[in-house]
Amino acid sequence: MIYYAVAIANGFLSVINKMINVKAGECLGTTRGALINYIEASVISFCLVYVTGKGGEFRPDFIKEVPPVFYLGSVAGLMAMIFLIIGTKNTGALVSTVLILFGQLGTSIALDYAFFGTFRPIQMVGIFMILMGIAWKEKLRSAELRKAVLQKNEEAGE
Amino acid sequence: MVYLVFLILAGIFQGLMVSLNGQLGNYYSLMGVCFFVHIIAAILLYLYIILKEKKSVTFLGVPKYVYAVGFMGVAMVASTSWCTLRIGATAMLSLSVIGQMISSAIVDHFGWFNVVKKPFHWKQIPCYLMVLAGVLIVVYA
Repeated sequence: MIYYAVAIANGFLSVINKMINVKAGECLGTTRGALINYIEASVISFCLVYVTGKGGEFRPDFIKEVPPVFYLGSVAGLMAMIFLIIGTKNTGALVSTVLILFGQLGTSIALDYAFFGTFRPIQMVGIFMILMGIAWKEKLRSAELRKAVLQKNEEAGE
Repeated sequence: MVYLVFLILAGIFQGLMVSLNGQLGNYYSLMGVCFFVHIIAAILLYLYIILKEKKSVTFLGVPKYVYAVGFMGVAMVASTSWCTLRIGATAMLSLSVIGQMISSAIVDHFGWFNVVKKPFHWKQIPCYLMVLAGVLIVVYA
């Protein structure tokens, strides 16, 4: 149960983090705004590794033991950021939100199968419902925005 | 059309990131995972700024709360890796979607972080329920 609560809290944190990153991007530019996040987080986690007595993890022989492909998570994150910026600039919020989520969830199903050997076809139904729910909400949101703009234009015309 | 492919690719790479960071958790402590995830990204991004953008790196002139972003980055990577190892990437991402939807609605409703206020409408409730039902199927079915 605790894992489910933490996963939901992770979603909360992700939105707050996104808003602060946007602010950092406005002040410093997109790349430097992201860099401040990575540098700070590196320093904080480096200190916490030693505080928690796990400094041995930085031994070169220990680092070499880990399959190199597992270190590529952050490279994948950077690639995602680049595609996200280019794709979102040229499409609407509805399309971008649904397609990104589709890619995320589709990949996670494939990788859960690859790493944990778990696959339940019913999960596809769940993912379809999540995507439909998000698409529906985004559609309502854009309809409300359109209505607000029309109302503003009408008020300005009077 | 190509931009739609870019967006799917963005999602695929994000899914890859979550899974690979989760796998790193089999070898390192949570903070160890956070360190490697962030330091590799920091080095790559620093090189990009210096070599491609040819800009200097300075972090001055931002609101003070922006400096909290590093703590959030650590908390997010740590919680993602911790949960992915226990419940799998699909369940982790699906549950995170619920958290993101609720917090986005709160931020929009109150206009936090200087965003334009968008009051919550009750007619959005069925959308949330549909997502919730989807998440419950992914996690429990």
